[in-house]
Amino acid sequence: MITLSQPLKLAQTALLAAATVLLAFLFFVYVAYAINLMQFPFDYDQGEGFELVDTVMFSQGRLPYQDADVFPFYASNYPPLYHVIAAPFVWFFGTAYWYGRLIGFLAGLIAAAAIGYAVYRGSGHRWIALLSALAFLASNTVYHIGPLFRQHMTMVMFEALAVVILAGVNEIVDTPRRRRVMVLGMLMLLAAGYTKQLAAFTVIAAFLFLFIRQPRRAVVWGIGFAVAAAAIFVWLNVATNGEWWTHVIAANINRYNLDQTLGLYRLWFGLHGFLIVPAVLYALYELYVDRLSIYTIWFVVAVGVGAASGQWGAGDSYFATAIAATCILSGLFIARTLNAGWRFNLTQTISKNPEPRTQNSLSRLLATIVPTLYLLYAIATFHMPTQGALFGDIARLLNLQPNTDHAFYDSAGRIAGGYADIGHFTTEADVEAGWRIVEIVRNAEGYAMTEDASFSLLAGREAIGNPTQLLNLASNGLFDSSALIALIEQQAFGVIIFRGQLYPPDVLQAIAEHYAPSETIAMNGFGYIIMRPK
Amino acid sequence: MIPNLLTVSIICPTLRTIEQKVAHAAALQIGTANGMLPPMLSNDFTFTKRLLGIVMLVIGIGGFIAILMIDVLDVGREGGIGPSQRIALGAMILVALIGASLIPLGKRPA
Repeated sequence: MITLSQPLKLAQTALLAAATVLLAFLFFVYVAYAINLMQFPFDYDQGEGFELVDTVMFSQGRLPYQDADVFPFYASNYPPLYHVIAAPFVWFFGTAYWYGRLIGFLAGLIAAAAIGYAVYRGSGHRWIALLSALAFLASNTVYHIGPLFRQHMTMVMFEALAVVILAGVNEIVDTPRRRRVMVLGMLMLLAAGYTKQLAAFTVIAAFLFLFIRQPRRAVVWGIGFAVAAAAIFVWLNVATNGEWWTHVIAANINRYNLDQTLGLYRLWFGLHGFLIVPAVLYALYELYVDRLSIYTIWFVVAVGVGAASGQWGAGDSYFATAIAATCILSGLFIARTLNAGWRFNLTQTISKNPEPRTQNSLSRLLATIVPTLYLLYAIATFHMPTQGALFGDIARLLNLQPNTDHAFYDSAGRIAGGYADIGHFTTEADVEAGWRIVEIVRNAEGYAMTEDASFSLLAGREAIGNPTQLLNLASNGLFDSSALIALIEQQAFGVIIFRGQLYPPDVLQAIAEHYAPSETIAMNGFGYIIMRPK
Repeated sequence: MIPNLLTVSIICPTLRTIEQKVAHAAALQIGTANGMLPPMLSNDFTFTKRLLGIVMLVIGIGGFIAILMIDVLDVGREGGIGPSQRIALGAMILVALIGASLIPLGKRPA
């Protein structure tokens, strides 16, 4: 630990304390947001309801990878693990959203704890470890997706656990213990991959790290890992007559928008730049001076994954893994600066010609001001509701005005396509509007088809059609819409409810020809269009 | 043995015989054991900064050529090198440059 004079020490502590207060406040907002969402009985983010449908199917021992050409035109495009974890809740609590959101929320906390632990293990600095964990949860992206009934944060949790477990595996001398740690790391990687396909890149990063450190170990364990992953894959494919491949792999190739990707990269840097810069510096330090850690390789690969964020259906969530890696590397950078732990053995000119006074002065100055990075980061990512007993008062005190379509301030604004337009709190009016739609679905004659599954599920009806997956399939020439269109032409649906009109174009065209809007109900910022037979 | 000798073949195309390539690989310290078997799969082997640099250089150059070849092989494409390709080409140049900068760092573990 660097020795500072009393005023500098005071300044450093004040900066660290200020950053802690701000990040702790953002954590408080995160918890309040999670509690708010757990009480909301309908879809908040598009697609949550279909995750619930998958979970219900798994709880009944059914697989959601089925022929979408036939009634009920439903299939899932996500791997099973998240839904399998949530399935026991269905047995005890029935069909509800809160437990899926609770799992996502807890997964975010566990991922943050893993990040904090990685920084603590690498630096021994408790305060910076805490700030690293809080920084992860303060990210606008993590805030958005953490407490949703979506599998993304659970994937990030397994990824973070895997890299933290594998980070020091090569240094374990005791062979049985090293093997146990390797098995645990491999299981976490496998779990991440079978939670969401995107984790394949973390698998690549982990094996790259193992290969650079000891190719033999990477090859041997890589063969074992590949066999295990392939066995599950083949079993699922055989058990579903090939529908697993169709829905999880073949249908997931979507149109690409480069502008969206570039916009999201800019946004990612704009929000997290105060931690990205130290993370990059730390990665360069490892590359040229120290040894490459799994965190650096994970960071590089995860930042590369952001290139896929321009796909239709993708968005800022694709940066969540990169944000986790950023928080670890920046934490190590800041802790090392505070600990005066930099060693530049390679730069002979510096070590051979030291100027102790200058170096010490520089080190002391850096150690004093480096906590400012967390403070600036907290300001850059600041977000909070602008209404409510407590948040309304704080917003007025800070003179914050809502800059979204809701009573919510988000430092990101809404500048990039693909950035999730969520984060606001739901209201009593939203809940009332939701129940109104449920009643409409419940009272409909014949079938009901809704773009949010919640209305069908809560009305005790079968969820028909998964619009985004049908569009995925149609975009890849894998969907025969004739049976669904025949039902629409027969006006077999007593009601169809739009949220985003996400069905394939020919299905939308058929609906437009045979159905007409009867009313629009506003809920959660969306206009739900009630379509009835003409 | 193949990866190392392949690397040697790429970075030193003037070497003709296997013996020359094995000797050169040993000189570059990128690995042969007893002149016959690669140490890469031994328990003690780890990547050096130099070897990592060479691998990145080869990937960068190979990737750059491969991305350019998309237009050559897929003659039906229109519009020449698109924005995504330009970004990918830039990334490959960056990989190659970082690789080249690592080579002088020698035997230090990567």
